[in-house]
Amino acid sequence: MNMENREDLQALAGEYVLGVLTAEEAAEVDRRMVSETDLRAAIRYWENRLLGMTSLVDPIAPTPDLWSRIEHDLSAAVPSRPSHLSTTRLNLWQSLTFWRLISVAGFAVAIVLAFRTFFFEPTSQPPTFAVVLQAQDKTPGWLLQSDARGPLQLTPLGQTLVGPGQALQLWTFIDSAKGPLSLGLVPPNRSVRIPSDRLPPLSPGQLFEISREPGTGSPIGRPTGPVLFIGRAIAVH
Amino acid sequence: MNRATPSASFDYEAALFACARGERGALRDIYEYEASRLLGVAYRILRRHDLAEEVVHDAFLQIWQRSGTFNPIYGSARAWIYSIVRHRAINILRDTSRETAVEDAMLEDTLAVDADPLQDLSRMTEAAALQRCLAQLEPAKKMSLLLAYLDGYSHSQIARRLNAPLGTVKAWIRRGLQELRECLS
Repeated sequence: MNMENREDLQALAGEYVLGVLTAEEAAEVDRRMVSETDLRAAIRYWENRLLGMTSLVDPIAPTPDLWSRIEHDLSAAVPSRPSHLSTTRLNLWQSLTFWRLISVAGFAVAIVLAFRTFFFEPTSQPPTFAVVLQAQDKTPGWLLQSDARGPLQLTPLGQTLVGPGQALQLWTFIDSAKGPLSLGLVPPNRSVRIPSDRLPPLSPGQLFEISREPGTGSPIGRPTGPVLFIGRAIAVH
Repeated sequence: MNRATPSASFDYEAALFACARGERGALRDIYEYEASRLLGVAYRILRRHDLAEEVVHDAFLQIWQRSGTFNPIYGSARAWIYSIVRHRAINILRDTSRETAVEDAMLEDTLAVDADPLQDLSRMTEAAALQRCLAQLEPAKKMSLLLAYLDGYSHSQIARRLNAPLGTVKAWIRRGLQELRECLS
């Protein structure tokens, strides 16, 4: 991308965040954002940089029932609720958490089981956590497994192209205040064991990412290149 | 319940991650810390209390549903939350069915109510760099950016408010953003 295009992209992102685009122009940006990483990054940049202006606005106390209305509607805000289920069923069926856990865990378990069936002898100690790291288009890219104390096992589920002088680096977030923790460089297309002695036990929801970095890894202790794959730890019992 | 000032100690990121794990208490915490300021932001754009509450209501449902997609690598959790509210408020404002005479009435009302937004710059406690860089801009550029971001004004509304040609306003905004970015980097 040349300089002029970069300036245009930054300007478009800034106008989008300011809110000066017409409804049609904004909708076009919404569409482009899905596939254009640079545009998305530019929008995030402006969202973060302009946020301070909101401190100029006087707060207004909400009406007392606003929270109860939000809470009431949370139950209905289930994205994957099957329509054929009777509404008189247990509240469990209306719980977002329940459906989230079922869908996420189900997906992870399916992948873990498929993988183990095809590639591994069954073991007596199943992993207690699994992370499916997905690309932006939701394609599963890597599987990260851990048992209670042993090393993490990272396995590619597809091919990842890495240019000359580039490397893939694995990251996790344990303490959001401290930022990302590097788990080291990983080879692009084969399994690798990640020593876990520097790592506290995994917790559900823990974030893992793989970014593209210079061949010797990020020089600054956090991702400098695009995050290619992202996923969260799910307990697999 | 709604605190008047941002809490430096509240961990917005941890709260979003907890939402992603399905912990409703975390959403409630975000509400307690931010609802009144988010409502203020939505009201400033929409100038109608009922619509502003609707925006906050919808935004909290979205925060809950989309919390799993929040990625701290791309920015702060607080910016993520505010962008949902502003996006929703501006969408409602730009809804074509509302492009009527009501809009002009609102604009007049705003003109009467608002003091010069530039006078408020000293209140920007949270982002010293942004305040410094905004203060360096020419008044017309600064005013255009503030009217757009805080009041949800479109290009043409800013043009009317500042009594300037539309093309000039568009250029002020583009150059204002560019200068802001150079100053902030």
